[in-house]
Amino acid sequence: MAAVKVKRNELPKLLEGAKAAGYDVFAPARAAEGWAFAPYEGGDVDLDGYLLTTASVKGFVLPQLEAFLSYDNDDGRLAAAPEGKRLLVGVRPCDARALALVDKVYLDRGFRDPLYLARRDNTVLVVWACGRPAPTCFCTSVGGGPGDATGADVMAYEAGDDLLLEASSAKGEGFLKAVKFGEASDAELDEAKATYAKVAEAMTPLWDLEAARPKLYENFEAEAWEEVASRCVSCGACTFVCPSCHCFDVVDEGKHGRGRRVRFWDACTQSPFTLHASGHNPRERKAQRYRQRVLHKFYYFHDNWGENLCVGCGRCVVACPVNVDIREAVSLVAGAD
Amino acid sequence: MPVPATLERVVVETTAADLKSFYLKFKDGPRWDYLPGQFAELSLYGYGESPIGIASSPTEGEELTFTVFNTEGKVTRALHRLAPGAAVGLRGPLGNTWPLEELRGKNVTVIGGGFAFTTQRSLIKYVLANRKDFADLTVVYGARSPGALLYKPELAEWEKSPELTLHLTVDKGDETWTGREGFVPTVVEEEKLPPDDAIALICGPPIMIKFTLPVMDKLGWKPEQIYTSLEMRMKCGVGMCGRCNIGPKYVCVDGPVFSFAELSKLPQEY
Ligand SMILES: Cc1cc2nc3c(=O)[nH]c(=O)nc-3n(C[C@H](O)[C@H](O)[C@H](O)COP(=O)(O)OP(=O)(O)OC[C@H]3O[C@@H](n4cnc5c(N)ncnc54)[C@H](O)[C@@H]3O)c2cc1C
Ligand code: SF4
Ligand code: SF4
Ligand code: FES
Repeated sequence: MAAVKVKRNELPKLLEGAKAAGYDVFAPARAAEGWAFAPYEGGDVDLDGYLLTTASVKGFVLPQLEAFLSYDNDDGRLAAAPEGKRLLVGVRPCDARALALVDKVYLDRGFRDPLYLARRDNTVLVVWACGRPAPTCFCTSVGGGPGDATGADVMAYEAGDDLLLEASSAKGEGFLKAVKFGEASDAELDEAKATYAKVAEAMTPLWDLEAARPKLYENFEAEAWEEVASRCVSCGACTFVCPSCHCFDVVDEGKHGRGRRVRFWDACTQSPFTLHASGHNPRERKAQRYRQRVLHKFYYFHDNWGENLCVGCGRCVVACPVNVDIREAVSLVAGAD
Repeated sequence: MPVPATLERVVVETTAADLKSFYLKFKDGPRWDYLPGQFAELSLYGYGESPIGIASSPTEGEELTFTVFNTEGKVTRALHRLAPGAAVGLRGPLGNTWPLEELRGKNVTVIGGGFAFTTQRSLIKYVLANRKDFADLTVVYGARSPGALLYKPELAEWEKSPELTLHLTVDKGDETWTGREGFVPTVVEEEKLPPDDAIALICGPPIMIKFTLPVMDKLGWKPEQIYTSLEMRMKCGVGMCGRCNIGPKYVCVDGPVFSFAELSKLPQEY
């Protein structure tokens, strides 16, 4: 299907069209802290100054806390799969890429998580290519880029006063068919993509990961891990804001035989994460835990799936209260002898 | 989703009563099959789930056995308070199995210490039930004291059985103990357990494994002939919650059974 052309000031019409087609629409909006996806209430979408939401999109498919089972004494019942189509507009390529990576763990590992699957199926990501990356962005160093369509359902490229929308999944195509706009020509689309390729080229690569990756693992015992994690206070902020961190804990909540089994985001940088009932903890020290986070992103996941688990959004760099910087960590450890 | 099962009976295994065996049967409805070495998540609504190795063998019939140490944690404490008739959920079968294909036709050597012996029992029962598929079966099993040995009636049978050779040992005997005293590594050394055409399965406290491996190395065992079963804190058991990894391997799906050849390629973080 050909790409669709929408005037920038017709965006409200597009989103109203999506609502009419049955989607719950979410768009970036200014929030108490930075930006957040909020239900679209009509009117213009002001994206002036918007780059990334403070929290990533992962909460839309993997809620911070959810009950997946409820019980009444000995009877358990799985939670019903969530229904209702959602459309997220203004998602950045790094976040969409992150969901495509989490998909591997939640859908391709063997066990297909029904709640996650339903949310993924119900959610259309309209991914907005990035024209002005932030200094903390390093997507091109980890396999992504400002115009990367991995994980996107629709790619949106700005071209002057126009917005060119290209479907990159069947879901995305369904949406573009449901809202009726004119076509963009191939030439227009190619030109727009070329401008984003330039944005990508202007981002300096941080490392050559093909060379750095094996060094990170070889240097498993390096003193440099102590150095990079020395300030870490094990707060977990980096894992919570991260779009690709997907680990969770499970707990039963309830009283008098009735309750629910919930799962909620967990953080490998916190010590109880691996604590055995015996008191033994294989990752007792924060340097061991931070090493797990970095190696999972750059080595373990790559070993299993051939991709980096970090998408270079820079959120952890911004969120860390003590300025631990994963980019420096990789440089330092890979550079240690 | 945990499959509903009923607790048929409970056997107190140790004099300290800190280890009990739970014999469970699936209720009418869904059920699953398993092989020796696998584990299951035991679910008690209101308390949570715990990963526990399956101590029975599929050759034993309908009952599934789990031998559980009471850590005084949430789930194991609640389990220890259960009486027959109670409902327990079983989510499984999880993880890989003992290397059954590699073991076929070979000499099977089981080296166990303490209560990690549970899934080794499953394998011993499996070998005994399919006796002609395997060559010699040799078992070394040790515990701190006679009272800490699991499956005592069965051990007594095995001692008399011509189907296997059992070397039982305790760190320190008591007035009733007429058997051997000494640590597992010493027994392995004294008995000169031969590596020829054999596979060994070793489970026990880290200290026992640490001292047994060099002895086996001296006897000529290769790392790829020796397997163990690992334990890491777990939640999901299906490779999603992300907490049970050792390097790139997730113990819940890539393990719990690993050979020492595989482990030598992984970080020592367990
Ligand atoms: C593959 C495997 C097989 C096991 N087999 C046995 C067995 O046959 N017999 C036995 O007594 N114990 C076994 N364990 C250990 C057992 O799982 C823990 O002792 C148990 O989960 C403690 O639960 P709790 O709720 O009482 O403790 P808490 O301290 O309240 O722990 C809370 C939760 O954390 C997780 N957890 C805590 N410690 C461990 C741990 N060491 N391993 C895995 N998860 C943990 C569990 O989900 C547990 O419910 C096995 C562990 C693994 C990984
Ligand atoms: S590790 Fe940091 S930079 Fe990489 S994806 Fe996660 S939050 Fe973004
Ligand atoms: S945000 Fe910073 S201090 Fe908090 S756990 Fe991550 S690295 Fe450590
Ligand atoms: S227990 Fe969840 S990943 Fe292994």
